[in-house]
Amino acid sequence: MASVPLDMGLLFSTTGSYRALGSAMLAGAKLAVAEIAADPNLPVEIACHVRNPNGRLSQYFSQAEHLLRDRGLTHVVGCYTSASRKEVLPLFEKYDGLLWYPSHYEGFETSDNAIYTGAAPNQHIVPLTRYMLRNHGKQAWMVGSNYIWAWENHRIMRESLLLSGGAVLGERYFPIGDTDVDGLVEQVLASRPDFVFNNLIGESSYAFIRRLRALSEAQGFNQAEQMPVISCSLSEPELWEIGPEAAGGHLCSSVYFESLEGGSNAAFVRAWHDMYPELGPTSADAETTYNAVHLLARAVAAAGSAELTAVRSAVSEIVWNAPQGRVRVDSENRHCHLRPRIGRSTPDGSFELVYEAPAPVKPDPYLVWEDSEVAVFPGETGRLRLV
Amino acid sequence: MKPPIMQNFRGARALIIHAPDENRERLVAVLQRLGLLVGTLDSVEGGSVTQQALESCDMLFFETDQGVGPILGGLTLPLVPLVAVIGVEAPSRLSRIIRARAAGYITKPIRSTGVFTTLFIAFNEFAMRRALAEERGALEERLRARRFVTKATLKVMRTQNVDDDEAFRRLRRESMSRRITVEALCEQIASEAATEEAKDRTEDPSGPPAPPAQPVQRKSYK
Repeated sequence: MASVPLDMGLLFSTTGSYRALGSAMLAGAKLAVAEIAADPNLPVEIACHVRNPNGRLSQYFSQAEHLLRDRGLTHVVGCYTSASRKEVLPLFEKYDGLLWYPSHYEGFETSDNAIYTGAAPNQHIVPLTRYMLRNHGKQAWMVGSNYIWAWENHRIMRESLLLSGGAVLGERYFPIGDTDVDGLVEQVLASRPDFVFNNLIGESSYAFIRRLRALSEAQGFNQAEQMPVISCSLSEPELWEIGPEAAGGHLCSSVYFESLEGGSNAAFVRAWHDMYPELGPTSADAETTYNAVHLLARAVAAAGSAELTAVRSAVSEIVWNAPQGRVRVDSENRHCHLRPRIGRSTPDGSFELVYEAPAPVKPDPYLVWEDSEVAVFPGETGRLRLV
Repeated sequence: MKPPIMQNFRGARALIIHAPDENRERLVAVLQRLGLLVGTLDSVEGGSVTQQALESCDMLFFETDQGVGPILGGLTLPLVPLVAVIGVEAPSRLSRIIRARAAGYITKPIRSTGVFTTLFIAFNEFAMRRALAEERGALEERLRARRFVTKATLKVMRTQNVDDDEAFRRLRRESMSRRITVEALCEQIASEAATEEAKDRTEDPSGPPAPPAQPVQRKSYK
């Protein structure tokens, strides 16, 4: 059987403020490319066009335009932040390309020119909210980096808490990269919420977690047990960054952890460490990027062509045995059916599962179908609610 | 009353608070083509947006993707049509538009198609809201004055020995001849009556019951 050629753009910021994430995602994509090249049963020949927008929106735009218009590409795997995705999507609509967006995000978007392989809000924040309300109480502090990811997650958490008779004891936002968190840590410790919802990203988050743990220990307070820090984004490489003193006892909602058993994870983790001994552990973003490339290649093989309409209709027929388990693209909203999980971090930089959805959950990017369950607590408030 | 529909926005001063990018450039270009005078400010942060700048525009475009809390927190939104420039369609963003009572919106990416519609709806919707607000103000005023109308009607019934319909007819005729509203007339009568009663009480606080209130002195209602 003749191979189908696939020209694929890879648009990841491997320099700039979130270079660690961009590098891990690019590594996930390249691992998938290597596996596809070595697979005799997958007649797709991939040519990669790698671009690095350096974390800058203007470069995302110009490089995506170059790939789509000048190189004539149809498929690009890339972007991490929502701002970068919003920046390039109009180009994919204009030149009729398909953006394979491989990160969890806040939802409220369904472009016909995108496939979303990361978790939608009903697969990350909603299960986390439900888990916290059932197991850790209803008084929260919320802290985040000042952009859409935190704003939207905080909104959902706040509404759920209020409707369940809980309260937000405090809420603060910090510029990305700000590590001046001492005052914040003192405020949080003074008000002793049941948990801290952390949507800080990068260095701000690590500084906050380290400082909170240090000050709690100095006060003889078991923070991990009595006031856990929770998030929808903390990953294994970040636990390594935080360091062993403060890495343990945090809860994270994610569809993937390196410690998962089953799926094809054992093989994925082995291949990752063989190929990238310098990169440390695997992570959710690396895995969803890896999945995006595999889904794309399989859809191209099934369609017998890289043409957009053919690939888009072929992809929803594919069930991919991903490291996290079976994954497929929803034909209605082009997000993925994924299995929500909550892990508790360990001091050595991994996660142990504390909750796992019984089956993959249909993506609901607009939270249209899911939310009546978020804060239904008969016997507590005695009422159903719809957001 | 319905205000007439505006269709030409030539000379209106539009202020755009939005990051300097291609969307803003396209918006500026289309607005200028439509005859508006356009000013731009990069963002709410950094103090570049002053109350004075806000007060001197006829229409305000603001970006909704950035920030938390109220739009232009700390500043008073001007009484002009507000237009939201929307990138992210998430509820935390959109609820700020509702709280700010935007009269129109436009979604990014901005193209030349759609800008005129946004202007058209925002200006006219705003004018309609103003008209409704004025109407509501007038209704509230009438509601407030209703107790005085009742008092004045009762007084005329009592002093001129007529029924309520006739009393009100006389009050209305009198208000027309004085070119004031019936509510304003009644308020005057009610306050005069109150003054007289107070006077009676001051003159003889412990004396016999006050005599029936005198008819309004200045004028007969016939």
